[in-house]
Amino acid sequence: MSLAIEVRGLGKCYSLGQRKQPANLRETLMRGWQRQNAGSEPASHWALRDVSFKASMGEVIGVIGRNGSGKSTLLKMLAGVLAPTEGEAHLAGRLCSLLELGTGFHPELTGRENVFLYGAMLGMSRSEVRRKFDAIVDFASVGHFLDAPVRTYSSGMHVRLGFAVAAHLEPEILLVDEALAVGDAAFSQKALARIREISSSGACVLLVSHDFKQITALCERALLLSRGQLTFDGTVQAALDLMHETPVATATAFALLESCALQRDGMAGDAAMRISCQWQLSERVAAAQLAVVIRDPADRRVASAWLPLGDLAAGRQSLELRAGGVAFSPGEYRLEMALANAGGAVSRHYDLAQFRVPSDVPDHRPIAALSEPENVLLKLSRC
Amino acid sequence: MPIAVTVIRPPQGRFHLGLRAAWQRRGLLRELLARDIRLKYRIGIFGVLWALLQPLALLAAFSLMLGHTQSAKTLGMPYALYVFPGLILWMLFANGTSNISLSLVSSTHLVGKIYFPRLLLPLATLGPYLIDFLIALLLLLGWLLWQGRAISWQLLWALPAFVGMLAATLTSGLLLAVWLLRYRDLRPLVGFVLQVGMLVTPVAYSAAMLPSGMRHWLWLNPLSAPVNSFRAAFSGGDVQALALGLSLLFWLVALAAALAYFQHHDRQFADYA
Repeated sequence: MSLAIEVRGLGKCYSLGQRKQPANLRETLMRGWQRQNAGSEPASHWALRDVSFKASMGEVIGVIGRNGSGKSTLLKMLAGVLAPTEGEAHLAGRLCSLLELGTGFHPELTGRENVFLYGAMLGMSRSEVRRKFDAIVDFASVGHFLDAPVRTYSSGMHVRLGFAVAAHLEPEILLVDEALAVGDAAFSQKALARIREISSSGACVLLVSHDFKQITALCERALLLSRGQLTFDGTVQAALDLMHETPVATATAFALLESCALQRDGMAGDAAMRISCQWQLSERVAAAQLAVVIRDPADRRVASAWLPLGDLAAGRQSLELRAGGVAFSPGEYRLEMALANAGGAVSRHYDLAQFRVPSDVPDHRPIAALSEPENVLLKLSRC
Repeated sequence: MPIAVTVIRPPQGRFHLGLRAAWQRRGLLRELLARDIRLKYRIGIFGVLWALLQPLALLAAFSLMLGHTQSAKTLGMPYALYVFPGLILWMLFANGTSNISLSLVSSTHLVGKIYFPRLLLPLATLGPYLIDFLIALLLLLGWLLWQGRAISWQLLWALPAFVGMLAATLTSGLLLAVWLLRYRDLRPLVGFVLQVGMLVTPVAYSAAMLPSGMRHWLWLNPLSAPVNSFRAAFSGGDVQALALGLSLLFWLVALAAALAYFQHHDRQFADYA
């Protein structure tokens, strides 16, 4: 297999201890003043450092890691958006980066005009877009909205049209950053199928995703990043295991104390459950929040809630929760929990428990109906 | 077909103008130009009226102030027609500069997500204002003919004056675009500087209308010569070829420096976006 990507010692450093550069003159002058008074060098932060790997044509590689581990920084550098501070990368062939779908769309222009504009931004010539135009429109299935301004599009149509243009670029290297996390299930399926097609035609695909199912389904190989370092390069399963092995927080025990029978106390058809959870924290988590997510059988998020827990000291934490206040359609549901700090999730736990809502519940008004999953708010409180 | 290899490296700090990269993506430049022009002229005839409204409103205000000027100093022309050429060239500069200066800040969503030569954004921004300029120029030519002014070879002086002003527009626009992206709090400065600029440049008046002791101070402003020569090309009078030549040279060198400065920061834009 011929080499598609070769990355050698790539690193990105943000100075001044901030992710972003100062945004105004006042701040710049103040920092300069402070630095002069303190007489010290500004603190620097390596968002990514010393990353090296090779990828061949036809490979689909997942890039995983926690929030802030440098996944997006890596992709942005390969896409040419961010300049590296050190190291280099060689990319063979045409590159298409989907850091966000339909970024180049202008809301006032029609879908047709935007296809040409976005196509040109991604690197297609006008004649190339014209040649593929019918295929793009067909894939996007925006119907008669094609000649309406994009601002009138639903978010689903917006994303479909954006992906449709990018999907027809026929790149040798495709970089995808969470771009497929948007849109409905049918779109996700279609997009994944298209990515498979692109890779089987010999392209190299780099995929950043928090959806481990997607990574497992698409990739043979995964890169694990943690705190800006490439800590593992190998099979997807091994990378996922390794990622879950060294979390800041480990769920040591978890139990659904009271399963979600539909209880008739409170609102009719309310689901109510008591959850007991225990965490082992290897370090202090400031401004911790606990998320409870309920997913339907199609893996769509139908209800969720956040509970602020304040600062958690290292060590064992246990907590008993009451969740409910939402009526569910009959079906199977899975529970997912995550512990997060201000920077994002520090640990995520899938498939913690399952519960079933029987179909013979009387007077039951489905709010979280299966056909139109909508992320409704759970009522969540400490017992 | 050999596969083109892209190499991504830290910025080298090498002097370059980035024109080759911009030229390679001229297809995108065309699409961006089409976008900006479509957005401005989507409303058809009103787009054209808007293009004329701004210079004509300013012209009316100027006439109120200086319309009583002795006709000897306006070479026997109505004051409004006499200053109109300089005014439309100034409008190109002022509108071009202020909009180019915002071209990066207003596209941060693009700059942070997709790579293309960033120079295309300010270049495309200029498009609609060039069209405004052409529309006003047609009005000017019609007006001159209607007044029975002879079109002479002196008109050719308009070309170097226009090139000088275009270079000045790009120079100031590119520099401001980089600065506004880095220092968002500089934004109010642009409008203020352009207002002062219009007063210290012979837009509403000509050098001949100033007291003789003040005239040569005017040439310290490198924008004076293009405006003055452009007006002289249409309205008659001394084109001041030497001042124009020096100004043209100044702006072309400044443009090269501004392009190099822009390219020097090109790869950092996403850090500020």
